[in-house]
Amino acid sequence: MNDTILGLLAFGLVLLTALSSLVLAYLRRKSGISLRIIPAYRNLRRAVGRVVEDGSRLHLSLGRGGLVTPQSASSLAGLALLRRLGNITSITDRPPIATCGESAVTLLAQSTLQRVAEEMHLAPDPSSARLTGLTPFSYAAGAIPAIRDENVSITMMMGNFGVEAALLLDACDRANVLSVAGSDHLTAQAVIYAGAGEPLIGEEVYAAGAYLESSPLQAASLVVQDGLRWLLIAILVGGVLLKVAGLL
Amino acid sequence: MKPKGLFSIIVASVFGLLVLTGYFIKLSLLVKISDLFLNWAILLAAFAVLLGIFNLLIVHMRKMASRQKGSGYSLLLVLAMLTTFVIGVIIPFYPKAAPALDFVFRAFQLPIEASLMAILTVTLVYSSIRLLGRRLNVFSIVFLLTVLLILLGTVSFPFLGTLPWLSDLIRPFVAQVLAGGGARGLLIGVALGSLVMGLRVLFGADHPYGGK
Amino acid sequence: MSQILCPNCNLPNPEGAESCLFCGSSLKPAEKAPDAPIRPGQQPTVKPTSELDKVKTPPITAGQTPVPRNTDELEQALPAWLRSLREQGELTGETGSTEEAVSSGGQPSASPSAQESEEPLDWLNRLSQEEEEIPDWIASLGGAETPAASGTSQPAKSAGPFEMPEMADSQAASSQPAEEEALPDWLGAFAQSPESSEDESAGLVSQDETASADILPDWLDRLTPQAQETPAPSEETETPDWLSGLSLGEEQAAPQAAPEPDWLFNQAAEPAEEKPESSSPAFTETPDWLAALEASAASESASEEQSVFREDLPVENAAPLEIPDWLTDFRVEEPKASAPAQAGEELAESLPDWLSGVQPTPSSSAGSVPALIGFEETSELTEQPAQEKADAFLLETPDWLERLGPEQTPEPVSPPAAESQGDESLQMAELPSWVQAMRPVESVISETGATVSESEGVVEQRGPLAGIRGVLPFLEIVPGRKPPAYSIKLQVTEQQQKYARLLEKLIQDEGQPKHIKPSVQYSIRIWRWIISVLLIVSALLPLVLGGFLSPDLTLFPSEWEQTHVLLDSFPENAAVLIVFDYGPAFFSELQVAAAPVVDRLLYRGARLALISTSPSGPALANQFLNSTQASHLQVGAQIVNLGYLPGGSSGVYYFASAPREAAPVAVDGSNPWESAVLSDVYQLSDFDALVVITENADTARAWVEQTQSHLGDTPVFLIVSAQAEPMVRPYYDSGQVDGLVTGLVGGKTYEQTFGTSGLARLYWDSLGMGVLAALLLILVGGAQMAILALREKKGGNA
Repeated sequence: MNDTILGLLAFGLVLLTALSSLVLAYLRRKSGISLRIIPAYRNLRRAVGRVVEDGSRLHLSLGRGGLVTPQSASSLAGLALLRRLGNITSITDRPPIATCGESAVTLLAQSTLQRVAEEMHLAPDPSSARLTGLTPFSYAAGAIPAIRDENVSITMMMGNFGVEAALLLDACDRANVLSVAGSDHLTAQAVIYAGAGEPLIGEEVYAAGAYLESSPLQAASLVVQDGLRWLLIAILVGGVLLKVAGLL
Repeated sequence: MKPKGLFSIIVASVFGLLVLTGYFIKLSLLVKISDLFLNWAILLAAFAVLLGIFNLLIVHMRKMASRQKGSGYSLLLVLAMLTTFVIGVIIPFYPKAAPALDFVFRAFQLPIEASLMAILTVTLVYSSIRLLGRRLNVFSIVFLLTVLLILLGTVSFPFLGTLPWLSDLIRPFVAQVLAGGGARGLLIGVALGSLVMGLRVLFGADHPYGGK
Repeated sequence: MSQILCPNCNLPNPEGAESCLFCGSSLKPAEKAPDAPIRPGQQPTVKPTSELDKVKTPPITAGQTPVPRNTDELEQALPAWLRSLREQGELTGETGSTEEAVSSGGQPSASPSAQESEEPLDWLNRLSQEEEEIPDWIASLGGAETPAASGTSQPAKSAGPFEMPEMADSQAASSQPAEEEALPDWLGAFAQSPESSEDESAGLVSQDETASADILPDWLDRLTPQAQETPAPSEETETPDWLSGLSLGEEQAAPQAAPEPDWLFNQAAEPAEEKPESSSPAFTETPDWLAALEASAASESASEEQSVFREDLPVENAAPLEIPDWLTDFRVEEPKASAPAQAGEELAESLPDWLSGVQPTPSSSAGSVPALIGFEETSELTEQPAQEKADAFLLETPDWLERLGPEQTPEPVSPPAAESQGDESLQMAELPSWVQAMRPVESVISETGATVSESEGVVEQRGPLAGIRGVLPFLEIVPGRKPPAYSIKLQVTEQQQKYARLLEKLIQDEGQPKHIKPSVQYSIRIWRWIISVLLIVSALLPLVLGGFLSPDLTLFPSEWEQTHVLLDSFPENAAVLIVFDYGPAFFSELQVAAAPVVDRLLYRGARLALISTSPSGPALANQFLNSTQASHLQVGAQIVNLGYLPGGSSGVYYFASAPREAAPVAVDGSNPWESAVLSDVYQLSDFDALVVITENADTARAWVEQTQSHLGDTPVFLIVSAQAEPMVRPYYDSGQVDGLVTGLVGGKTYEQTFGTSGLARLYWDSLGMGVLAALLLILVGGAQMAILALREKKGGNA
């Protein structure tokens, strides 16, 4: 098939997704959209409340995904979650910290926490967001002391992780820290399922904004995402049938 | 919303839409513009590496200054970083220093990372053992059974060799069909989520580059 | 210091004072009041006693002994009615009625008794004989012998009729023979006998003007102008004789033959010991001399009870007073009672003429309390004869009082039984004028009965408003509805106590640490140690033992054949781009997997261009070559290291589109595109093969996807870790990737294929042993954890 046609089809799909999200967000802006319960986010709400109450610290690990790679989406989702949780937990005695395995994401994390501190009229801490390593295992090795030594009670792993996520989860298990982890990497998802307290599988990583912020556009985007999934299922099943039928 | 945040959203949205359009619609102007923006992004990413290294240095130096727990390790890290950096900088001017860099890499980084990999092996085995204690359900049992099947069908056991039926039939079927299919579905979902996430960033619903 | 007695309250005031310091009345001589009787509602005209000063003698001062005087001098001081009584008694010889002259300002209504004229009022003599504490107002009377004193001390002396309000309320107890010297002349006529019987009419003192003017107060002096001489004051006591006789009547009370006037008896049946429990409305406390009269009256017979006052007049707890002898002569019988009637007849015979016209007032009903204690109540009040109204003085009986009869008296409020029993013997006393002046208006109004309604006529008997008419009745507490008594003690029910105990126990339990039953805790660290030891032992054991424990592969992977064939199809001196995009951690695995392939390529004379999108890639590449290909590697001639390619997928895309621009400089700083290795390469498709070594499926996918459109027919080989093999196999299966080598197994496979012995063979036994150990650990540990979880679940449900 012509690349141009394929490109146009892809662009149309993207455009359709965008318009559907906007329209659905506008139509359901008052009634709201009911989402299925994800236990990880439900427990996260409670855990964040405990963090505020007992004065412990929230640790958010953003992984090693860059901003110019396909794994940037999970990094951006992690940054959005950092902003949301930073607004909640910055008022505690121990503000949240963020560890990253990629430089550009580290800079964005610093900017996010600095902006949160300014809005809360607090003094920004340059070391609140830190680059712990440039390689996956060095990044994991550098993030373990933050979990162990800085009075962390919750560790959220939201981004691009590999098998090194097992090291972080083991550190959380040793320190009796609640771990809520999610990655766009399949291997990491397997490791997270076995080792995390609250695993996030598949695209649940990208639903953090809708579950924690309850924005109409975010909830609508999740509905559109489900719609696209059904569309792809239909296309796949149709294609298989056509292939079997010899028409394709 | 503050004007500063609104300007950031506008710039991100405009540049993202241009690159997206140029990726799908092969118009010369759009392609050139998208390539230009991508080059800028690459430069920024490269420069961000230096900034990240600098940030790492600052964090550990502050840790040493405040004498926090683990400040000794921070000192080692800073020394190693500076040494490696200096060697790498003088190599073009002094090529005989190159083996030193190889030595540092070969003597420190490779063993440490390999050790971490070994620790990972123990951690993964331990996590597999505790899985049923942490989450006793059907999916955990299936997960463990799959792990055992893959392990049984992958290697040749001492004195036993490869196990028939497992190595040539069951394992390939489980790994390539079942696991592969599930993995493909997860990847599609991840891709859709990435698509929607990117659109939310373009529309300003998620702006990780600012506050409220 | 000379003092002025207040005509109203008779209290001494300093000389020169214009108004009384105690009651506020004017001390100036009042105008001569008309002779008209006082009307209801009217205040009696207060006249100073100086009007009575007919005897030009200075008043007695404190410390002076009153001089006995002839009571004849006080003839003029006597009220007209009293004089008329005397005259009538002298003329007609009729017995006097109830003498009201003792009451306050009452007009004398009793006709003088003839007997009285004949016999001097012994009671006056008795009064003078009694010695008792002299009130100040009496003592202040300078040189004037009071009628009472003279009457008491000199009973033989006869004195003109005069009004002695104080004396009228008390029962004369003057049984003592009064000293004749102390009695004034005007009282001496009355006090002829030292003892006077009770039957004697307790009338007024005879108008003996021989009483000493020095002893008499001013008002008495004015009454008796003929009395020029004041009798010498009694040397025994400063108290006027008539008054002292009253006070000492308790001791010298003598039985009286004649019936005593009712108005002089006030609860005569009561014993002398009875004391008034509560004072009358007019008086808050009984004067001593009055108390003496009560005591003397109490010792006398209490058979008759005649009230001087009206029945409605509240008299609380009136105690019997001693009636002086001179007063007993004027006793008026009770018309209603037979005995009092008989006594009244006898009394009428004995009353002087001037008292004969005085009718006894009806006795008060049960429960009525006389206004003043010790006063006898007149059973009936009669009108004052017109001729007796000589002077509108306080001693005249008011017309309203005369008109009142027993039938007009309203039902008085019944006091309590105890009081009622005591009130039976009390007589309604006649209040003197100054006492009546102090009475509340409501009570005065109620006496008239004209404007007072029946409800307002109720006189309060109890409480602080006792004696006052027209007040709201005292509400009785309904029997049986006792107001709830609230205890100050906390009332806690049994259930509340139970709850309180429970709460206390809960609070106590909070402070006490709970003993948690120790559960079997499996140490997590020991599992780590066990796993580590087993894996290390299993990995090292084959190395220690040597030899080959595990047989070679008999089954090759499906992609082996194609890969093998393709690798052998490369031309000699082929330009191969090798991408080292894996981390140092996977160096060992990928080194084993990639070594046979790279070795085969180098064996075939290929030119290798190394590049990496990972910062550590170039170093890893050098390390790989030095460790695996050192024997036949010629750096520079066959291999060029292009270094680090930034940008990830974008960088790959950029390199794929323009490799010379994306990687202009090699790691050693030279221009690789001018070297022998890449001199003929201008675009990506100029490479003969693309080999990507990575542990990350995304990296492999990116290289495959980004370079697909620029590679042309250049084959792509993927050397991946075992963890990435499921993700990249679809690319192989779809034909996007031409060759695939997966982990240590792939390396072993190609070593076996190429007939070489490398690291794969070395690691093959350790791999087998390690995997077997892990397998066993997962099986055993997993089963144990599952059993514990089930037990815990069952224990929780139980």
